[in-house]
Amino acid sequence: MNEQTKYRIVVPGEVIVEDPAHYTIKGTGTIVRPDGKTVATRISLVSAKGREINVVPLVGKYIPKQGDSVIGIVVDYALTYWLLEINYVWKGRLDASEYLKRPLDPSKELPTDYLKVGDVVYTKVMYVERGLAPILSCRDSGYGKLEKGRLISINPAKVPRLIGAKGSMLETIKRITKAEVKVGTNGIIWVRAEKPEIEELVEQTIKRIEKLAHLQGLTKKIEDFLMKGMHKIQRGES
Amino acid sequence: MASEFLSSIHREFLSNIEKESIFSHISRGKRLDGRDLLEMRKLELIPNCIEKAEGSCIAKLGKTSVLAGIKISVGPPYPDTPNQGAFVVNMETMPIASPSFELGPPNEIGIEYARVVDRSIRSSNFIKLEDLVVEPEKYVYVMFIDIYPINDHGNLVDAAFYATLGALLTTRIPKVEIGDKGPVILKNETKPLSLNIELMPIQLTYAKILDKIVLDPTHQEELVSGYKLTLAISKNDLVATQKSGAGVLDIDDFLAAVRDLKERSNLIKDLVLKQTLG
Amino acid sequence: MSLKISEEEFKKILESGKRVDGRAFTELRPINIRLGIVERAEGSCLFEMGHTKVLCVVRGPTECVPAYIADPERAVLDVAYRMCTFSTEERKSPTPSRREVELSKVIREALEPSILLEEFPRMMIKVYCLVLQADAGTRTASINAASLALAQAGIPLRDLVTSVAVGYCYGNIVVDVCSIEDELCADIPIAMLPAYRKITLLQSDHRLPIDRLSEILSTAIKAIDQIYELQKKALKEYYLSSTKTGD
Repeated sequence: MNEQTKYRIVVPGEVIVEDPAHYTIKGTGTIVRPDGKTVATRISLVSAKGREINVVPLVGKYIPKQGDSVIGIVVDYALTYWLLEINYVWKGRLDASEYLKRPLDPSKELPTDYLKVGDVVYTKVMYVERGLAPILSCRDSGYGKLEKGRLISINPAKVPRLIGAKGSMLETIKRITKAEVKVGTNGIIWVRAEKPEIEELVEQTIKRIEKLAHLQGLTKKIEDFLMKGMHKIQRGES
Repeated sequence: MASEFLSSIHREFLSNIEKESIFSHISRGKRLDGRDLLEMRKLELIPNCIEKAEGSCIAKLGKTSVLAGIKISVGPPYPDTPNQGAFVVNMETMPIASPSFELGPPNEIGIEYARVVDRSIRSSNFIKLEDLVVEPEKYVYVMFIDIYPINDHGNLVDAAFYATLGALLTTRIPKVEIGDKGPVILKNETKPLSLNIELMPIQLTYAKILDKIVLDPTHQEELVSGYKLTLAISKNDLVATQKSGAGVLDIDDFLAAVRDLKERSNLIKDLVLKQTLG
Repeated sequence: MSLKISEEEFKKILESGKRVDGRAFTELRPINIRLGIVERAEGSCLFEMGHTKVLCVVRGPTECVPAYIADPERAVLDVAYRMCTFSTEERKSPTPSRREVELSKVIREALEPSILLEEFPRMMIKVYCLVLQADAGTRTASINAASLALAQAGIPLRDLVTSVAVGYCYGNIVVDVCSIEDELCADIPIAMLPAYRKITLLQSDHRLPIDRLSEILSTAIKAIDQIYELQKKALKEYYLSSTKTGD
């Protein structure tokens, strides 16, 4: 491990710093106790560099935020909208106009003409209020129905690690495997590649990142793992 | 069918992409977890895990795990079998094992599975019920077999069956004396439950997916299967059958499943005996 | 385990400075903790204290069922404590008893102060405690297990909740009562938020001298601190070992 940055795992109730006034604490999953000490509320990785402390929870369910990209499964519909399972307590609501980019005419067409129960959609959280159903949209480019390929589900707390700093980890995966990958902040990931073997390799890689999320220099390790895997697949072909 | 028994089972969703994945694997003769169509997950039995029970066993079938325990009491025999002991099989489907279960009275699944396991054991004559008599026509041993699913990763009914088998194989029957106030159970003096080992039943469950039959389905496979077929054989006889689910069953598939079970039964029997009696 | 002993013999052993199962007065039974054993649950923990074994599963936050009990300001915590039919000497009926209903409530109230329920308005957090084997201290083991399962599920907590039962036996204070002590002495189950030094569960139903109460509590707190350390260690070890298997 790096000598300048100190890492440790904390559990709920454990003190992160005695006197918060002297430190900058970034990240989520902390509270200040009545005695003034900052404590963790979840199992988290704490990294300290000088007076800067970063707290990253390692566990937890997905809580949607405005602007999140999520992958959802259509589980129900009404005349003008669909309900999507997005790995949250409430189903997300996707209005037909937010998917078709034009109003839907219920006298001529039904939502099921476009999306059926079981279909998988890459979508964005437009509005959300804690405790209420989130509103989804596919208006921006890149969002829409996902077909073929495979779905992988990981702990949503590990998604930032999968994406990596400035998207580096995800780019590495895409570059080496040439696979299409969409990452939902809700922990659902879609992968489509030329061959099922490559999809399998990407799945293994993602599961590996999930398990090793707390390690430093992970991007390099993953790069090696992917190169080896791709080499094997190509050899098997010839 | 009473809806109250259905309301405690939540609907589970599987996306079209996941369904297609399962289907495309199966049509190529493979399964998502890498198994062949007629390949069972690893069966592991951990007997004697509850000291307070007269018999107990955890059965693991891959990631599925089930705990069975047996308590013994003494009571009057059933009027139609005055010279036989009795046993009851019950399954408690708590939300421990799966998010699709809720608290409440035993649901449809729990009742069906417990009855399937009961029939597989009972119709094989594996338990020597005639040896479970304390005083003919007055007092017999009554065995309560209670099954608790711990993790439902598919095929609970077979895991429940092997947990029950493991518990029966390691059950100790306490001595009973008839005193002035009726029977007294002496827990410190016990003997093994008397069993017809050569009649030991072996149960397996098959699921129909597309036009293929798969052995020992996972919970995802259960969600896309047309029906499940649970079969039990004892020696050379089929002793129990349950078709579960709304799909239609072909005669040839049924016969093929029975043949498959027959071929595997000796191997499984040896495995069960080795893991329980050593 | 079902060893019977007369009151006289029991007293004699205590006078010699020992307990029926050979422990010292302030010695805990062996504790074994396993986390994450139910794969299809957000959190799960098997907590063993001596022969007592409790499996606890946490699900959620989920939708609140029934919907009319939902609270727009915070999550509803639902706790069910149940005993396996074969967990006791005599078979227990699978129908929940009045005792199981009461214990479900006091366990819920012991856990509730630790959870940041306000982070999950209108939702429900479900805790299921299943006693696999009962040999005294099933409610305290349930609380210890539940708190760890909540932590594993990533439910935000102010602190873990730690619980132990102390016994008052013929003038002696003993820690983590066993089943014989449970039968013959006063047992006092206590749960705490250890870092805050606040009590979240306290029950008693025997004659206790008032001038010994603070001693009883301080003995309990010492035991709770020991269990608290084991809980924290188990969580960290679980996290580290679950990340190692990738290599």
